[in-house]
Parts: sequence; structure tokens; C-alpha cells
Amino acid sequence: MTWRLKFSLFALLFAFLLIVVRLFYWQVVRAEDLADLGQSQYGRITKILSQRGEIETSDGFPIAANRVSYRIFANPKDIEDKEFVVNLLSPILKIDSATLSAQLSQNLFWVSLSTDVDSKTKNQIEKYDIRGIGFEQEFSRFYPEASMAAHLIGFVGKDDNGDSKGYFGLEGFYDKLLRGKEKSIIQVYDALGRPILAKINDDKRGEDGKTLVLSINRSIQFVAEKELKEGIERYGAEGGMVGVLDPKTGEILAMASFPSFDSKKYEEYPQENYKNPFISNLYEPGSTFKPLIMGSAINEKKLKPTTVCPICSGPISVGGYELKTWNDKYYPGTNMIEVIQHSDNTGMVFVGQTLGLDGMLKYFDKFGIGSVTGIDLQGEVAPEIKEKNDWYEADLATASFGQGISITPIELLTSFSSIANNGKMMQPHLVKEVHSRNGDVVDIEPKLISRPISEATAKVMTEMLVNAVDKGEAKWTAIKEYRIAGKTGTASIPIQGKYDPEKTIASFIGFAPADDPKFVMLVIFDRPKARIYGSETAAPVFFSIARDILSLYGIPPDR
Amino acid sequence: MRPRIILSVLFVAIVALTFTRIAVANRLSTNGAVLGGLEEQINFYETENALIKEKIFNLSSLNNISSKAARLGFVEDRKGFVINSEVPVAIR
Repeated sequence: MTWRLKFSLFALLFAFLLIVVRLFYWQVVRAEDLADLGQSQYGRITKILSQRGEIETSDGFPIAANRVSYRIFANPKDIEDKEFVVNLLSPILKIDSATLSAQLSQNLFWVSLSTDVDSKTKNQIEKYDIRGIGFEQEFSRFYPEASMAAHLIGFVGKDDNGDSKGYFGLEGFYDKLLRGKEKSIIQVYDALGRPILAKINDDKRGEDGKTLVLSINRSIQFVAEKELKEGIERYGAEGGMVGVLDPKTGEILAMASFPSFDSKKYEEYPQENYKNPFISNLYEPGSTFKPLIMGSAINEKKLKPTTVCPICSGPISVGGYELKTWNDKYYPGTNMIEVIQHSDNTGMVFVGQTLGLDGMLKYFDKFGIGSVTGIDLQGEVAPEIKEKNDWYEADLATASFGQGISITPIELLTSFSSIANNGKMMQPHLVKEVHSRNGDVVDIEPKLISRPISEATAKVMTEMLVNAVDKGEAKWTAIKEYRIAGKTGTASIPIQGKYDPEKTIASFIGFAPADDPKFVMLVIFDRPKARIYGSETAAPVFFSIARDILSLYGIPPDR
Repeated sequence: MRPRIILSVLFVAIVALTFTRIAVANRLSTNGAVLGGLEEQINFYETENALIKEKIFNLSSLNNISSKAARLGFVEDRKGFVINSEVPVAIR
């Protein structure tokens, strides 16, 4: 081969080598940069917002769900006749013309006009095919039963970053579980914007929020709210509460309180309405506390049901104070059964003194008085029980009949439920199952908190409470066909260091059927005006709801 | 002779591979449009599904049923009754 041919061959090979080296540089050394550049040109990051989990009642009906809604946005630079658009959209979106006009006057490519617009309104606007107006689909929270169980559900607002966040109730307590995790994917598109069948990169694994299945019985909740509302109006009360619980499992069947709010329009209500008073408000329980003190003394074998009260023939002087019965009637020689039946304060002072301060504090601890119950709702509080050294003789006496001591309604309901459950106290809870999108189900098992009284004591207390319903002040409103155990309560409210005789917390607590309780219920009216006693306000509402529950459960009369 | 054969084989291979690449790219190019169409359909049915669910929940809510029942004239019956069957003679 001549030197020219050799030179040409060498030159070609060298050129070829240069190309290979350059290719190696771009396809191996700089491969990642090229891929990113390509993706940024032709790939779009799509954020798939996780759907918030639903909250369902025990029958599978969602009381908090997600619905399709739209954000309406505008490109002001693309809108020619702004006045026409303002006049058209203002009545449809219910936004005043001045605000809309200001939004469309901005020198921007994208302006949000309205959010949470339903599909009907969106279709109405879409018909006009207005250039420069677009729609973005999103999901927003909606509550099919409107304001039912608002205190239990809470509401979904925004946090500091503008992301959705649950507040109060279940939305607040289970926010992380309900929220899920956001997911983002990169989809590659061609020059015409059509997706290319290529590997879709999962930049971030996400998952939808989990669904909570509650123990709440929708029918009982509905009835409880209806009866409570009617009761508040009838008796002219400032507010009211109802709680219904299954004593065997601690499952909450219903919980209602007024004044309440609408979870969808929470911003229209005063902030104090967001708090669930059943778990967050302290009150003096009055006579509904007596069964716990009586049960404690009987459990300690310091008293029997037939023990005669030696100090019940008139008012009692304790620590410089004169303590009377609620109706100023006295029953000399009364026994413990009759003390509960007549709701005799002097008899209860005898019980408290027999139990003693040490005994009383011991049973406060056993019944969980002074501790949170651990119910799965945001905002539960617990009262502070005074140290032993800070108790006076009068404090022991008044605590025996439920005055001078504060508790939350959920505390009382939980403690009282131990009488209905053979002495066992179960932890109250609302969520019984957690479902994830992929079909996994997690059951929440009932939890035993403590065993404050024995089974024998629970049976004795049950009979005393049945007797109280049959022969006490509430007998006129009781359901005769059923054995129901219960106790009325009328507690005076302390105002500026004194008890106002006209302002009361009227309540009734009980369970049915007495021999195999299916529910325990507490009804409270705050400052009823038409009538002030528990036997005339809370008791009738209790029995009205109880009748519906017994009918719903198909429980035949036991008398 | 041998270099000619090698060159010919290489040439044929390159031409064949080029045609194969064109054919595969041609087939793949329309899949994007199909994929886009499928994505649109999925989004449409998911939206329809959500809208229908919303309607069902609103119609089957107790608040709605109760107010409709009241409008139709249904009244709450507070007097329940129980049918007690007599115990058979043999058990008595």
C-alpha cells in the first residue's frame, strides 16, 4: 500500500476514534444530565394528590367523604372583553363584580377566581366557552349528613403551607392517617403533547388516606341529635349533650352536643363552638355521681344496701356548713336503697364519711376520675383532683353528692358504665376499623381500663338504680315495660363563690336493659329555664331516646 | 476477497437494522395517542363515579330521608307494640 493510502486510512481511523470518544463522553459520562434535560423538555411532573380517607359510620355510610370540585382560573392576558366576563361570572360564582374585576385586571398569566366549585356550576360556565377561562379538577371534603356529629368529625382547614389539615374531633386526631401521602410521577410527552409509552418514573411513592369505620350508629346519632335539639328548645336551655356507649366494648354509639357548627362552613361559627363539650368541659355532676360513691362504699364492704342511715332525720352541719336535701324532705331510718331512690344528700354524706377520704380518693383513681379516658378525639381534658391535705370535711361531704367536684361528661359515662358491665370499665373509643385502599383492614380491639368494683357490687348497684327509676322522681316518665337502671341529677352551678339556686345542670344517666345492658346513656341540659330539675328535663329525653334504641335493637320488653 | 465479504455483510446489517428501527418507531409512535385516549377515558369515568357517589350519599342521608318523609306526611309512631306468642302446651 502506498503511503497515501496508509495516511488516508490512518486519518479515517483517527476521525472514527474521535467520534467514538465524543459519543462515549455524551452517552456515558454525561448520560444523566442528558436524560434530565430531555425529561425537562418533554417530561411533565404530575403531582397526584392523595385522596383524604373517608370517615364512615358503623353501617358503612360515609359522614365525611370527598367530592369532585373545580378551581376556576383565568388568564387575564387572554380575555378580550373583561367586562362581559365579569358580568357573566359574578352572579354564577356569587362573587361581587368589583372583586372579579380586580382579579382580571392583574398582569398575570394565571389567576385563581374561585375554588370548591361544584360540577353543575362548572358545566354552566363551560357552556359559554369563554377564552381565557379554565378549570382545574380537585377534591374537596363534603359531609352528606350535613352538620350531624360535627363535634365528633371536626373539620378540615389549611395549615401554614396552605395544605389541608384536620382540626378537632376525628379529622384532627387522625389527621396523618386520613391525609395519606402525595405522589409525583414524570410522564414523557412528544412534541404534540401526547404521552409516550415509556417508563414512568415514580419519583415519590404515595398512598391515599385510610378510611375510618366508626362505632357510631347513624340512626342512634340521628335520634339523639333530634331529641336533644327539641329538648333544648322545649326547656329553654343554653345547651345540651348526649352520649351513648356500649358498656361491654366501650364503643361510642352516639355523641351529640349543642350549640354545634357545620363542618363544611366552620368559619361562619364562633371558635368556642368547635370544642366538643362532652370531652372538653368540666361540670359538677350532682346526684348522677352518687351511684359511684355508693358503689365504692358497698365494694369496700363498709355498707350494705340495707344499712340504716343514722343522720338522715334533718339537715346536717359539716365544717360550719348546713347541708340539706334537694327538696328539704327527710326520711329518718332510711336505708341505702332509699337514699339513692330519694336522692338524699344527707344519706350520701353518711356514705362519704363511712367511706372516708382515703377510700374516696382510692376509688376516684379506680374509676379514672382525674385522668383522661384516652378516647380517640382531639381536645379531651381531665379535672385536677385536690391533694389529700387540701381536703376539708365539707369537701368530703359535698363530693359525696357530686358537688364541689368537677368531671367531664365522658369521664362520668365511662365510670358509670362499669356498673353496667359487671364491674369492668372499658376505654371509650370511636374508631373500630381502619381500612386502606388496597383492602387491608386493621381492627381496633376493645380495651379494659380497670375493674373498679366487683361483679357482685355491680349487680347490687344495678338493682338499686332500677328501684330509683321505678320509685324515684323520674318514675312518671320511665318506660314501664322495661327494667331500666338510672339516676337523675340536678347540680347547682357555682357563680362567684356561691351556688345559684335557679341555674342548674340537669342530667340523667342510665342503662338498659338492666339485666343485659346494650347501652349506657348520659343526657345533660345546661341551665334549662322552663324546668330546672333533671327528673323533668333530662329524664324524659333519656327515656325517649332509650325507647327508640330498644326498638331499633329489637329488644322485647322484660316486664 | 475477504475484506469485500466483510464490508458487504456490514453494509447489509446496517441497512437491515435501520429499516427495523424505522418499523419499530413507526409502531410505537401511535401508542402515545392511544395511551392519551385511555388516560382521558379513565379520568372521565373516575369523575363520573365520584359525581354519582356524591348524589347517592346525599339522597340516602338520614337528613334527606327524614325531611322527605315529613313532606310526604309520615309521622313518628311513639307507641310500639310487641307480639308475644303463647308458649306451646308441651313446654308449659
